[in-house]
Formats: sequence, structure tokens, C-alpha cells
Amino acid sequence: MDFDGDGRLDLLSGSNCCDSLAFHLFRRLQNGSWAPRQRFSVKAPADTRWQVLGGLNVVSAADWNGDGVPDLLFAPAKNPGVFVAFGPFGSAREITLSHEIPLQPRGTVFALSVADWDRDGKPDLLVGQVLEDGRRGIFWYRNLGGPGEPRLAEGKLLLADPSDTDVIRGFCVCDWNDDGRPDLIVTREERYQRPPGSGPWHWRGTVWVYLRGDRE
Amino acid sequence: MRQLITLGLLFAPLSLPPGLAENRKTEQAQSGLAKPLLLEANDRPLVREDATPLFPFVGDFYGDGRAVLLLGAPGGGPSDILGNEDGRLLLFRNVGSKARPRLAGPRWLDELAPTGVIPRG
Repeated sequence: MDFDGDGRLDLLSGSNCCDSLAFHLFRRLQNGSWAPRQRFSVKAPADTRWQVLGGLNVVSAADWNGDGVPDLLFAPAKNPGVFVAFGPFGSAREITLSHEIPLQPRGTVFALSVADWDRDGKPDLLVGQVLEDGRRGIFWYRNLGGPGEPRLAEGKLLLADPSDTDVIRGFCVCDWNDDGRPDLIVTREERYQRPPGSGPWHWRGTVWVYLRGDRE
Repeated sequence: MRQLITLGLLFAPLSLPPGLAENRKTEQAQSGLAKPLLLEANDRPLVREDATPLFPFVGDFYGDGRAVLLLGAPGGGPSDILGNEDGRLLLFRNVGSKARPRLAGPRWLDELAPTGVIPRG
């Protein structure tokens, strides 16, 4: 994603384990190489208190308010909600988030992506969430607002965990088969016993593509 | 040599247990999503055993107009079978077409960018 608005795609990464109020940027240079990693710290909006429990946060950059400048979307580890800070960020290395994006239903976030899922020209929000009622999966929040003023519909469950022992861990949106429709790339993690039923537990990570079907 | 061993462990060919490669009955039937397909790289299923979860992203990493799959792998510390302490990123180049992507074997970002890891803690 183009974080600094220079027209080149940069790499943005959430934290690794224990640095949960930070993210990292790898800027793409003009010659195609990568600048050294830069760490950015993140502050909650003034009216928000997070429990800092460690874990992996989630970060994304997209033009959320339609002004042509990349904004930052951030979901803190083990706390509910998706928050936004509006760019440009200049040389700032500490970013204070503006506010929480209202989502209904609300839950802790394990992945997010900004994409025009319904191809109406407006950015939607897709969020991997664990809801308070225990439901877990990828929810689509359709953007019903006008240009530059996102207003999100109630979340619609696009994809639930396949089972209690085969869960979604991450996803992104892309047009995988170049048919003009956004698809999902999903990573899952399956827990199983070897030998079945009595052996120690193991984990198997898999990577799937979910294309848009013809019944859409 | 360590990286060669690591990649071998990561994507060793294996026979999938019955059911894994099949579609599970999920709610995507109502969401306009087709039956999922297990991605492959280098003609092997993208399966990772007994390690930290993977986090995907797709982008035109090489600037050739074709999608590249990126998989973030957080460091698992001493318990990580791969020995990753830091978070690392795998790149799978599309050597197929835009309409029919075919993924090559992976490279680590930190082979291309010396600081291309996310330190733990």
C-alpha cells in the first residue's frame, strides 16, 4: 500500500507479539529497493482507553475520507474496534488516532481490509472479528455514505470459521483471477491430533482463495 | 543453508488428510463466494505444519502488473519449529498470467531488504 502518497507501493506491517501499540513501515525507494524499517508508535484517541495486553495488532492504509491522501486504519491487539487517523502524516513517528469507526456488530479484530467489495465506487470495510456472542469470521461493512463520508451498514457475515478446530487467521481482498471482481485470500489454521483422538495436538496452516461465485 | 532447510520444512510435500482439501459447509454459500481452492506454490499445496499462523496480502510487489502473494509469519520464539524469533515475510511471485496465477517458490523479504523483519517485543 502507498503509505506516503509518493505513488510507490510501500509495505506496512503490524507488530510482532509484544509491541502492540506500534507498526512498521518499509518505504519503497525510487530505484525499487527498500528503505530501512521505520517504527511508528500509535496513540489511542483521547476518549479511548485500551488494555495493553500484547499480541498482534492489525494495520492498513487506505484513503478512507476520499481526499486522495492515504489514511491509517488500526485495530489494537485484544481490544475491540477499528480506529482511523487521517493523513498526511509527514515526518511524524507517533500517530494519534482520530476516532473509532462505528461497527455493528462490535468485536475484537484479527484482520481488516479496505476494498470496494460491491463495486459501487466506494470503499467498504471487511473485518475479521470475534464477536461478543462468540461468532467469528469475516464481516463485510458496506459503505452507504456519500463521497468522502463513509457510513457503514451493519456487518454481514461473509465467511465463518469452517469449524471449531479450523479457524480463519487472516485474509486480504484482491482480484485474484483478474475478472474485475474482488476475491478473498484466506489463511486458516487447523488443530488436529496425531494419532487421531489420542495423540498430541498439532497445527496446520493453509492458504485458500475464495473466488466470487456466479450466483452473486 | 539454514534458509534452504527452512523453506523445505515450510512447504514439504504431504498428503492432505481426507476432508482438508474439500469445501466445508460454511456460510459463504449465502455470500456469493465460490468453493475455496487451496493455493499452491511450486506445484505444492501451501501448507505449513506446527508453526505460527500466516497472514496474507496480495500486491504488485515487483511492478510487473501481476499479483504477488505475501505471507507474514510472526516469530514464535523458542517454540517455533522454524526457529523464527522475528516476524518475517514470504514472497510468492506470480509466474503465471494475471487471469491464471501460478505461484513460484517463496523468498523471504529479508533476503531483499536487510531490515525486512519485525523484531519481537
